[in-house]
Amino acid sequence: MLSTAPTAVLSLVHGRTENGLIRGAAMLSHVRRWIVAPLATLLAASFVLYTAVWLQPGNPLTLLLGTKASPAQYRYLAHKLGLDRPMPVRYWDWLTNAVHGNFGTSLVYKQSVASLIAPRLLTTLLLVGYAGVIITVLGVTLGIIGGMSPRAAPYTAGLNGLGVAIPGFVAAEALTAVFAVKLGWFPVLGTGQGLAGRLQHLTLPAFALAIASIAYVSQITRAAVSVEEQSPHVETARGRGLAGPRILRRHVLRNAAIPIMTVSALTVAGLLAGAIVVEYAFGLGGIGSLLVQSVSDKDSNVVLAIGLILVLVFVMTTTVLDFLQHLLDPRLRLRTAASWH
Amino acid sequence: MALTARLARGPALLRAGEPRDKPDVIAVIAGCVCAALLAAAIFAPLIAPYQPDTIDATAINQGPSAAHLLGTDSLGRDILTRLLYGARLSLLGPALVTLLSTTLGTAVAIAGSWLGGTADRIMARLLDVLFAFPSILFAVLAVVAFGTGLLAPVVALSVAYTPYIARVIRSAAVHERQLPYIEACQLLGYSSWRTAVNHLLRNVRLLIVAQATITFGYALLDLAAISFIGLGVQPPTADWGVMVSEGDSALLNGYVAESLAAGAAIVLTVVAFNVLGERLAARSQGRQ
Repeated sequence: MLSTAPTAVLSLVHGRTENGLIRGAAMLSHVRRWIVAPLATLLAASFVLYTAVWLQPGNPLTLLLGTKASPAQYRYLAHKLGLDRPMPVRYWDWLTNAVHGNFGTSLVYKQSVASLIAPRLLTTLLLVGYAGVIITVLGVTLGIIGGMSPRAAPYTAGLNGLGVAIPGFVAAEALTAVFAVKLGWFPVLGTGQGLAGRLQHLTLPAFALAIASIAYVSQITRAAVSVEEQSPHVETARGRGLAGPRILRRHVLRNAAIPIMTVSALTVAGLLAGAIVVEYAFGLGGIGSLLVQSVSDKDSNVVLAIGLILVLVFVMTTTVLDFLQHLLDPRLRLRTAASWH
Repeated sequence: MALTARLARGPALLRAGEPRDKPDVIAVIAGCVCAALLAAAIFAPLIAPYQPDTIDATAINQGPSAAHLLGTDSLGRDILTRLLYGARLSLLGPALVTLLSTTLGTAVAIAGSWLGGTADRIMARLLDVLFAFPSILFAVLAVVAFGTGLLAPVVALSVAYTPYIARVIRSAAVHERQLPYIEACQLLGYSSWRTAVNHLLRNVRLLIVAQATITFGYALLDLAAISFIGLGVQPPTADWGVMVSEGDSALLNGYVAESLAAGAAIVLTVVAFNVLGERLAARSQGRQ
């Protein structure tokens, strides 16, 4: 995940970098912004995805038939699987099937991709949800502490600076070394049985996945809170002699909530991609580790399906967030629906 | 006299705020760490005590000692040596990504802000498609299409980072575009190219350098992750991501040196580049 400096993100979130106003925002532009544009993006992204897999060297037929099959057998199977048709036709077929929930059959596991992915998707979603809770609670708390207390600020800033630089797989190795191997508190590998067993198996992966994002969310929160802390309406509240906690709740956090929510949600959506690496590190049976395995196995249908899921979640999250921001912040409705966000 | 005073203040990029300000100590330290890492990578053959692929069956998984300062891995190779040699690919990849994506992103941003209108919107739409891909997924897809190794992920990440850089530079360029000096250039009859490149681009150069520095850190993280999951640089070549992965099985038996040393090298490098980049970014914003 590539992130920009917190202050830059804040200005983007608030849309302060855009100029000009549109008065009387038209319904048409809303439809275009939240329905047509994301669908067009998805369509283009799915084509990029399909092209990448189509470019993949090697022939899936060799995998199925071995090297001793006759040319006629090759032709028959190629025709049966539709591999002899032109690429745009195959793409369109794949897309229409995928929209109906049919992702084809895995060449390696010989079962439908949907049935292969479903249980693994649950594991991944549990992992991401677990990490999401950790990130929101710890990230926002640390950020508020840093934003409220000038004395704590240098320390939280230092921790954040270190935290954002710790990638999931390094955190995974370090956490395993300390908590699984040395202390033996958590299992080293695997997915676990039952909800309690699963959560125990997911604890280290969730923290490994969360560390960098805790730091990032904390940075954003700190910046948002300290901007509000210095704003005139908070000065006024202080001047009126209101109690500190009340100022924090009613005056600081309310205004700081929009950027914090936006960044937290985007970060959590990005975790799905981060899970690719962390699941691999812990040998968790999620869609991320399945993706890595399928890339090595050249199992195209699985790669396509997981790729599409990741892209879909990402686009949906950004679109819903954009919509919610406009709902929550009336100022944004007046600003131009500029295409660069 | 004036020259020595200028030299004493250090290079312009590292000075905080106005030229007369004291140098930014933290930025200087971060810059020195970055420079030291680059030097270690370049001069690895001169510094390293061993060869990176020398296997020593009599010295497997040893702890730190005088002979092996960071110990040895599961094949008896010297970890410090492999870290130094690993720095070469681990830093070369991000350097290429930074160069490519910054060039591409800046070109798109300046062109978009300058041309405006339809051209700007078309570019924005194309970049939106790239935004839909998490960068790791994009790199994985490039590996699917073009095979494992350093090159495919480097190209993929360069493309994947372009929108992020373009967005930041564009908003600065749009701001600059409205300033009187652009109008002055136009009144003087300068060509669009000359105004955009010699004047506008020059005024946002600090921001570009800052963005590039931060990009380097993230590129390093993503490339190391790709190597870690076995889709980037392939073992036995020394690379930090590969080393974290190779050290994994030894780590489960309690020999943590290889994984954690390589991990620490990654974290240290990224912190140094991030700190430097953020200081530069803060300075460029202060100037605007």
